[in-house]
Amino acid sequence: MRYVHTLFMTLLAGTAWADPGQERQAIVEGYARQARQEMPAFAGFSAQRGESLFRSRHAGGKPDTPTCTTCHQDPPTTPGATRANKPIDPMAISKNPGRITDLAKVEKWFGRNCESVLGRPCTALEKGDVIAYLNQL
Amino acid sequence: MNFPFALLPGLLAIWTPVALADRHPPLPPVTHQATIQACADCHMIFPPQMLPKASWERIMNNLDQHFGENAGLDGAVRQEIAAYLAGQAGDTGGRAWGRKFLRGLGPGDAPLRISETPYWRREHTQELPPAAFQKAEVKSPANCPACHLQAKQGIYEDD
Repeated sequence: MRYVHTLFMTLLAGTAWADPGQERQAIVEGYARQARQEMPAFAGFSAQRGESLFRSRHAGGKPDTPTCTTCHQDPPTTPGATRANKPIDPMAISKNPGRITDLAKVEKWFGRNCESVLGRPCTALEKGDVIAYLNQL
Repeated sequence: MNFPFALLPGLLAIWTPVALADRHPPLPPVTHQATIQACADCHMIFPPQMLPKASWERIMNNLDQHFGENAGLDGAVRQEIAAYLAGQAGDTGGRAWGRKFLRGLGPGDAPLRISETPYWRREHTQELPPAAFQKAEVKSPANCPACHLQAKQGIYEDD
């Protein structure tokens, strides 16, 4: 009986690892830790700041990609397209629950796309803000 | 007996060269996982047979300046993909198709784009206006599947 109980609890614990909400939370917490290091006055992420960053036109990046919405749509609740017109699944988490669950993937694309749009890496604050925005769409 | 069998040789003599001219067997769809994972997010996986080995080398040695993007890869992955493309290029493993696709390219030529090869240019400029590639649904000559609906199956013969 104890064996069955242990097995059941292990399986239950195991399902937590596959929960996208938990995976996303871990990613957001990681950025929060970094944001606190970047600026001690960090008071939490803001979906409003994230929206502003995502939808504004930026001057520092490449002329082809002045804003995140160039490829990800405005608002990003519908499929976007790459410069070669390959479809991109929506960034809005409500439309695409798998978004922002794989840290390596998130870092890869923030790395490339912040460079393209802003002309520089995004700060942890900016990454967290953008995720907060995508989470409430 | 109504069918004019006597005409068959004549008909075949006309039909065969027309049917065979410039036909090529379907290109093998790319199944190389590392290539798909690294490249397919942004564009269709371009058949390696459509460019010479030197072109693929140029592209894979300059991924940080990949058509305006930094597509840089971890060393081991980059090497694996580079070896795959070099091995299937139109002048190496992909010679069966490359004989046609690479027509007009000199031995040192290494165009970065399939759309810069003489063969591609001839196929796409004789009947198409340049504006065809600016249409919203197409957007770019890199978007083969916009018009070549069976590109994923390696079939580009649309006529």
